[in-house]
Amino acid sequence: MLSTTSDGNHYLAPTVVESVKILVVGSFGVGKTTLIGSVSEIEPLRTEETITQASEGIDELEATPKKTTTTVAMDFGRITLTDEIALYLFGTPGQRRFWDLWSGLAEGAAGALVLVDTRRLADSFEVLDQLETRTSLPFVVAINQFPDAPSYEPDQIRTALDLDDETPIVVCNAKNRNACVRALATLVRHALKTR
Amino acid sequence: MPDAPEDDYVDHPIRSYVRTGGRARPTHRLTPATLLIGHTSPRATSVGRQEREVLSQCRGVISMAEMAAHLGQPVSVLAVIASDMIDAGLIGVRPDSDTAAGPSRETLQKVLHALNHL
Repeated sequence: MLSTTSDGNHYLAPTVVESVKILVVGSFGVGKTTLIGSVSEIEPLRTEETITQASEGIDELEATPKKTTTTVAMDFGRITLTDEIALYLFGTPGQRRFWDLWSGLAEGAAGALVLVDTRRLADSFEVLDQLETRTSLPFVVAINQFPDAPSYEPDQIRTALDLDDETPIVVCNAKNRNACVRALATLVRHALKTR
Repeated sequence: MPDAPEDDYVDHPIRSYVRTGGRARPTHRLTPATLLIGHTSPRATSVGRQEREVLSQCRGVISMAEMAAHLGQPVSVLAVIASDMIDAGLIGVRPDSDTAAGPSRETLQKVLHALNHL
């Protein structure tokens, strides 16, 4: 591990000049923060953004459209990889209604790790749809294998999620640091192939 | 750490942009992974409370997201304040951090190599 400043982990080493980010996306409760906590050198931190959305499903009879302001939390962590490079992992809800929040994050990202729970495969459809239609980010599907979840062959997952043959699928226990690091390495290898 | 209750919506009690004088757009591209750096000898200049708070969290190299989390402010609000502070020479920014074009091939190879050896 590289040393940081005397403030412990508060600051990065002064030699760090470059940051790379990877998005960890997936539906609620799929284990994004768990994965980030498994690999981060700092306790996962949280920032909150307010987003303003037009209310859905309400007849607009008044002159001013109804809007709601909501707060969305984003958890993140970091790994200092070399003297000069820090990797940031941002856990973001990937659903359509949060697009404004994570569109800025997607710009310049190395790629996205899509966490999937096999008990709730359908919850991943919208996230994958957003990634495919609204970004050109390389992504890897990581199955967060819960103990009581049914186990599928990667080909079954590929068919169920309608993934391209090129999209890597890895099995990854979000609590296991080594498994998470391997999943991230798979994503970066895939990103290198696609450019 | 279990997954956060991300879908708990909370109405925000104050309008964040009161803090930024109503401005919503920073003049620099400052994203959550942008790295800021505090100057070791800050210019002797009178600054407001917002700026002092930022300076107190910027005594080394730190990302926008981390600083926002420590200050309890949204990144988008910090971006407006930090942007002005960069223009005023109070803090610096690492130009190669989180570029819009994304990491170079060479950088990705370094990242992969490092991940393989963690």
